[in-house]
Amino acid sequence: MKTLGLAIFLLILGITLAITHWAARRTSSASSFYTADSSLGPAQNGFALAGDWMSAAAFLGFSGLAALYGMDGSLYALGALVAFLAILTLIAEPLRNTGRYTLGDVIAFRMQRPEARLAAVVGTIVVNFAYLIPQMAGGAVLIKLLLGLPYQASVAVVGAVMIVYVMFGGMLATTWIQIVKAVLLLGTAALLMLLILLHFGFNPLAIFSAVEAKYGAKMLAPGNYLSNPLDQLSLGLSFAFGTAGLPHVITRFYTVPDARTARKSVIWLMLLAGSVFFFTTLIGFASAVLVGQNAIRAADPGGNLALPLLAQFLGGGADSIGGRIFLAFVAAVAFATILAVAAGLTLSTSGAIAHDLYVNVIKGGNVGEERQVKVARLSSLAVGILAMLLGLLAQGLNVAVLVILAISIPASANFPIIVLSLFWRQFNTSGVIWGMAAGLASAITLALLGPAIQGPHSLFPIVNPTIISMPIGLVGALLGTLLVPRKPGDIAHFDEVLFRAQTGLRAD
Amino acid sequence: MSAVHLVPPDYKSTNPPNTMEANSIDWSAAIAQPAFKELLRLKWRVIAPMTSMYLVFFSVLMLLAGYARPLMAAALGPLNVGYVLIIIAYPMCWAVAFIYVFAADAWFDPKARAAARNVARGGK
Repeated sequence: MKTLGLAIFLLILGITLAITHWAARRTSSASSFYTADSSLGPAQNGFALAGDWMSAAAFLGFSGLAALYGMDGSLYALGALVAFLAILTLIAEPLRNTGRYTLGDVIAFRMQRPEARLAAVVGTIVVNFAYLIPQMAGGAVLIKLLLGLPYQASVAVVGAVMIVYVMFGGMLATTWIQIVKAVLLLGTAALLMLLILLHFGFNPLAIFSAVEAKYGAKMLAPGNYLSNPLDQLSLGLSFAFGTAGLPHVITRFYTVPDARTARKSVIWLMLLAGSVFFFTTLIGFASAVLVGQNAIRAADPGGNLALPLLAQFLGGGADSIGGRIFLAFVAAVAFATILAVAAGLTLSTSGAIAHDLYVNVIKGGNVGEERQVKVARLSSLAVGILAMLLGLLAQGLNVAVLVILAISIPASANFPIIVLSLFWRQFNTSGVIWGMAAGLASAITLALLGPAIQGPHSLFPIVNPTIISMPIGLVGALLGTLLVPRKPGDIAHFDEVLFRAQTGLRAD
Repeated sequence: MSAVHLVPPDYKSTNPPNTMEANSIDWSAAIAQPAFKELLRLKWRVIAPMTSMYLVFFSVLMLLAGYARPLMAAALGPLNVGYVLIIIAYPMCWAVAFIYVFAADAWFDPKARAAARNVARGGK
């Protein structure tokens, strides 16, 4: 049973390694390593974005939250979709038009100062690790439950494989691996929905009635998970604006040739990922009804196994062949998902270290093409090893706070800086630095003082700090701009940035 | 039609878009030109109402989920008020996205190309 899951996983692994081999022969320049030569079409990039965004945390986590807590889970899922409207209308095209590979490129282009790029590097690395470590740790726990691999072995496998993907295949490999994974995930979700609807007589409303009948109307109400009333709003803000500050999402606007393709790929993403997120509520509810909340909690207190357990049930139950196959398949897809997202994060982080830090800040841009690629590959190795070590260290620790930070730091630090750089003439390098510092410090402090770490009697009452830390980040950026004496050249590039951002006139 | 390029396509720089060649362009004049100002005005007139609408909808939904929980839980057929709102939110998001892409393809892009062409030609 568990060996079946491992076998399917090895099959998926084999396919992805073959993709990496194919990509490796096409990845010899910096441009192909970081952005696949900006050659992706709207559907390809849309699927890859969907793969990036539909992490295991999303499809397992959202359905688990819905199964155990009702509407709060559905609000998480909705937040994840609304997130992309801000990106589509405000961020995607201007970023595409003013940068090359990374967030650091955009900020540096505007400010033309290495300190500004450094601030972006800090924002990128902190966010990526906050996202990456729960993937490794949470993923290893999941894999242990589903496939029987011990925690350390899972971390080692995920780490080693993602290093291979990124080092040898770069963005081209990670993109196609994300696409494959997205297709598998979409297929799984579609199959699950079909079986669920069959079970409920093709009447989705019947699922709601069934949940209400079994657990009472309270299950369908908000507040079961996020008890503080401000938390829902804070959560909404994190998703709505934090997603726009996620470095590995931002990078996906450079893998397409122009702004027009970028916006179409976001449409693809919203349709694909949006549909899956919509289904997570129905999947969670069906699981609550058919598998039962007790069984779900017994398997994993966070509810993350609601979807796999439902798959097993719908396949025929724990003892049937169908049930085992379906469960094994879902487990393998979950493992592949973790792997793909971790690879994307590793690539993005290595971009910040190799391209931003080494090539631009330290060497001032004077690095030959071949050396750039070599440094990029080395830094992906280093990042991968570090991620593995941190993942091993994190065993048994509560990584929930990292998940919170992974979305509230981009909302509080990265997003304000991006928007201000693109749209505010007076914004300058000190603003970038103060804004990054304020957003980072407030998000981290408040998250650590909140219920995720401190429990029910925490100093800071809400789980998600964004509603306070985003204004603090904004104020920090404002103060940094207004209080530090103006230097010549601070705002020299605003006109150029504005013109290029809004018209697509490019110099590369 | 792809973006107008200022430098030959085979030019590769390790820096972000190299502004040395671009220093020959008067950027303050570029953004002062009527074609560009018109583009910005148009974008504002389309994007601002769209953004306000979905942000207000979403914020109200989140505020209700926090502060008006009994209302959100009030039954509406087999669903409740909250779920009706959530279910409406999905097609609303997709509609906003499609409208934006339509507006950008049909209205923004031609104006953007015109403004860019003026600048690339060396005109003001």
